[in-house]
Amino acid sequence: MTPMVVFLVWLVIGLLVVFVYAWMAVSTRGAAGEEAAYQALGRLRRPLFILMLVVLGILFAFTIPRTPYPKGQIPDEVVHAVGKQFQFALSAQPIRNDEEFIRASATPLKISRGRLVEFRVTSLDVNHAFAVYDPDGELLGQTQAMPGYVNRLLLRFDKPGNYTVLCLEYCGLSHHIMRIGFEVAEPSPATSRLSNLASRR
Amino acid sequence: MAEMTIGGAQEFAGEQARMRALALVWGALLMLLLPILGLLGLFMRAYQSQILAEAAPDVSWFYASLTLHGLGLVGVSYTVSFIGMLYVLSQHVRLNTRVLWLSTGLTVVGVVLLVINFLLRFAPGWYFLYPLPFISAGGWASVTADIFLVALAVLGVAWLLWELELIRAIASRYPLAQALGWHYLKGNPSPELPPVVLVATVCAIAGVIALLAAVAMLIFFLVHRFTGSMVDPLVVKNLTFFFGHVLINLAMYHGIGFLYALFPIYSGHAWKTAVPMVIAWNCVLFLVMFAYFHHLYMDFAQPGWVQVVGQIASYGTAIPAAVVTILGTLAQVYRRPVRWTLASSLLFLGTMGWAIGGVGAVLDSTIAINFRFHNTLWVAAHFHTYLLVGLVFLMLGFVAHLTQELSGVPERVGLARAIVASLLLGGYGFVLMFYLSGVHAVPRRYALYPFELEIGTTLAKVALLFVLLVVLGVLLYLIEVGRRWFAAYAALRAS
Repeated sequence: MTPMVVFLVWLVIGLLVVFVYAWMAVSTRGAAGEEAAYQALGRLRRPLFILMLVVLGILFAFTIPRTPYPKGQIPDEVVHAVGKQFQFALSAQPIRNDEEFIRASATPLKISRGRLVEFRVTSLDVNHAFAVYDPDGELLGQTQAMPGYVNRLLLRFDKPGNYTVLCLEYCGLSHHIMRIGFEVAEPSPATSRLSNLASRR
Repeated sequence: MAEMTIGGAQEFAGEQARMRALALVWGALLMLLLPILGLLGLFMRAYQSQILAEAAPDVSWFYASLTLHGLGLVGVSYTVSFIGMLYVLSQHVRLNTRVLWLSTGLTVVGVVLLVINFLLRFAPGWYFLYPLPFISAGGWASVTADIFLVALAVLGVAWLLWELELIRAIASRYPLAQALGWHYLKGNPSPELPPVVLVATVCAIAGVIALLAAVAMLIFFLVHRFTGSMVDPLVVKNLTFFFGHVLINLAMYHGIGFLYALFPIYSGHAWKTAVPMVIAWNCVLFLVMFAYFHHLYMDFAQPGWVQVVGQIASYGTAIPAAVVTILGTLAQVYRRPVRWTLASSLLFLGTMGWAIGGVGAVLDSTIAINFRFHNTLWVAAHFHTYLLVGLVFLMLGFVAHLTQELSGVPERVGLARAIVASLLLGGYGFVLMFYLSGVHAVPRRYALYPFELEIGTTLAKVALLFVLLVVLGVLLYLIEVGRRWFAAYAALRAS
């Protein structure tokens, strides 16, 4: 479900709730207060319970297979991603200390289009979040960057262009400027041949 | 109180009078703190909209405001709703108001410490995610972290004290099984259990567990403070969100507790405990303990089954809310001669905000959806819906009822309608801008938005217009209910 679909679902249900509340409020005009009306709404309890159970059950069944957690996929590339107040560093090599962090944060990263990339995300100080936005500003996905833990975020980039990583976990006074970019480019012929070979295997 | 002596009855009446005074004081605190903390919210939206331009103060004031706004309003929600619930509960059990006053005093001390920290620009956000309070990159002085830990400890003691007093008061009249309504499940609805007793019991048990988690969290913070070594951030994160999630849910449930008792005064139809209500609240007691996992969906290091349990528990808490409380509220209203006043309107509409915010929350508690909504303004959208146009409506409804009941001052109908209309239109317009920002993946807790997400700035500007409507509604409320409050205070002193 895209964010817009989620919004529309919320909007439709929300408007339905407003309509029902308005209807109920209007029904009080000149009402005598019959017990039958109270009983009538009480009888809706069971159908409402079953309806909610069914709707939420379907939503659960539809979305659980789509959770973003790694499910044993083998990535085409591994990128180490580290957060540190108020910068990110990305590198194909592990980033274990401040020196490696400074070196990696100054080196631009390029990824070939269509490849499954595993970001190994962690932090050298406080909690950050590693959120990847595509060239159109759409949020593709995210994971937390936490000191002492490595979270594995798998993303495939089908659209070439400049991607942006923003920090989505509040991490201090310059939180809103913490960012890094990387480029997704068309694969070179040599990389394409290697990818094709890998996929045939 | 079947065996109560005449002296006992007088003492009980005395406690009820003291409870009225306490409730009136908390009503005043709500009318004082809500506008101040709300204005911090207005300042933040103005900052994000960039209308302050050159006049914008240092960004540290934005994040200090963010911290106090969140901490303050969660605290106000929990405490005022708790007192509202105790006020109606005091008809059924004998509460020791000395303990409640002591907790009130300690809460004021805690709040003063938080305000001092605000002036020192302490800004780790309202859920102060470990180890941020200690590692600020020069953002705030290290002494502020110490002040904050003292404030947390004081508030923890204050709230644990009154939760324990609540348990004592209920237990002195009802055995635990009866207070949880289990005799209804055996087909024996005798003795009749007032719904507020059931809700208060569930809240007190969950409240004590949440506060014990806060104690454990505080111990981890103190270990870091005194040893300087890092403790496990994932464990502390679990404790922090367990405490915070349960606390804010309890605030809503306290509101439902007094709704069950107060709304029938206006609808003329008693709201009685029945088997579905007992099942619902017992389920809530269980499910609320596990729903907090949805705050950690993006911590992929958590075990996968824990995340699935979080989704199930989050969905699960929505069902009793809709099937018992929302439907129950509608049944109270449908074709009944409801006496519509400021209080009854706000109580009724408060449940609507809870329902609409709940839909946004359920969607966000779906792991696959949260992957793209987590920490965007969608989160701020749904919790402002069930807090601002949900719980705040309920609390304002409670104080409007309380002051009317104690003062007997007649309501100005036109003013009451203007209050409801301003709060309703302003409140929903304001949260709608958050939802739309969330759809565009605008991050929450950003003082300024990056150029790619400029729509966040535009929507913040539109939101400001609606905030001004909310401000108008609150001002009118203060005029109407403030007048009643002074009359109620005078009447109470005279009696």
